[in-house]
Amino acid sequence: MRLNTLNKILSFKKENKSFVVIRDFKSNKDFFYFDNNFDKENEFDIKFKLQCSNALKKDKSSLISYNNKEYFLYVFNSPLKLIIIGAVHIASSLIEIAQILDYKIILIDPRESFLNSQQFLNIETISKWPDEALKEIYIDNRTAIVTLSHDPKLDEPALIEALKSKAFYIGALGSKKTHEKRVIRLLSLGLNEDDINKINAPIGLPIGSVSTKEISISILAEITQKLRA
Amino acid sequence: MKESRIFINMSKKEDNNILYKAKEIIQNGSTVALATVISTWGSSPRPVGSVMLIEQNGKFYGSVSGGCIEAEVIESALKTIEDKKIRKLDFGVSNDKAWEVGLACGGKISVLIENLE
Repeated sequence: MRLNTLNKILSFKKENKSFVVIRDFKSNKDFFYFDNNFDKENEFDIKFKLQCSNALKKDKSSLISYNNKEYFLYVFNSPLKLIIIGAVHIASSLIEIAQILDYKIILIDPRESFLNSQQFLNIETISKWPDEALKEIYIDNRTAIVTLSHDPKLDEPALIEALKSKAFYIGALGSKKTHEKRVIRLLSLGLNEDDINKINAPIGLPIGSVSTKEISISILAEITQKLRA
Repeated sequence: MKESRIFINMSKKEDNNILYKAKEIIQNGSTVALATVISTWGSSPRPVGSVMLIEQNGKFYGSVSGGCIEAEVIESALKTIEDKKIRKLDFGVSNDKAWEVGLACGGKISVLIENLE
């Protein structure tokens, strides 16, 4: 790989861009593909574009052949993001495990006292009402949103805003009963059933979790399942 | 196998950070080879796009398998550092050498080795 390519990769990564490096090992030439665009005019057609965009969507690098030539599509996606509503007890273990999985964390809670109640390392915190806060955050299809507060005043405006976004995962903590009541309230607020069904609740894969750490694992297992679906 | 030249330096950092590491090594004036998993078949521990860096002194960062083929990749990478030739290594069930180094997962892996220049 040429140093020039490496430098480009590092600078695009710094800008949190999603891109594919199209590598031609034979000629040692590298091209770049961004959302629907190549870095410069070249011999690639729409079909090739589609393969690049699929590679990004699937988050999978691969060798492909095109016009009897072999190319390596080297995929770099924007960072994964996890937005958490509610700086409650379980938030800290969820954050810790999500960070192992390379998620960038944004924690939202309008209650400063909750935000200050635990030490959260290397995360962004926003002390605003969740719906206001969510409107200010760039939410793409690499973003997961989880409500943990148990307080409908906080969780529900967040869920309503989250459902308008491109987030690949939306989950809400709470029992089946809590969720039934939540569904009734959301319906009365004019949301339709299809939208409400996009909320994963009760949150997490059913692995019989008891402790907050175990629940965090089940939540991230479910998020991973949706990411890789 | 030149065991004496190999230093274990398994990094917990993922591949993204490995590319930053590559830059750092080059800036320090050292030569470095890049090994990339370019295709896999069946079960394989590291996905396509996984990378490993190999320095001239045998130090390496990252991984391209669950530890089964790293030694051989390092050996080839040291050759590539010397002769600047791109190498493609195929490991799999049909490859005797792979069994020798123990590709126990039963899958196939192709690794491309090149210099960063």
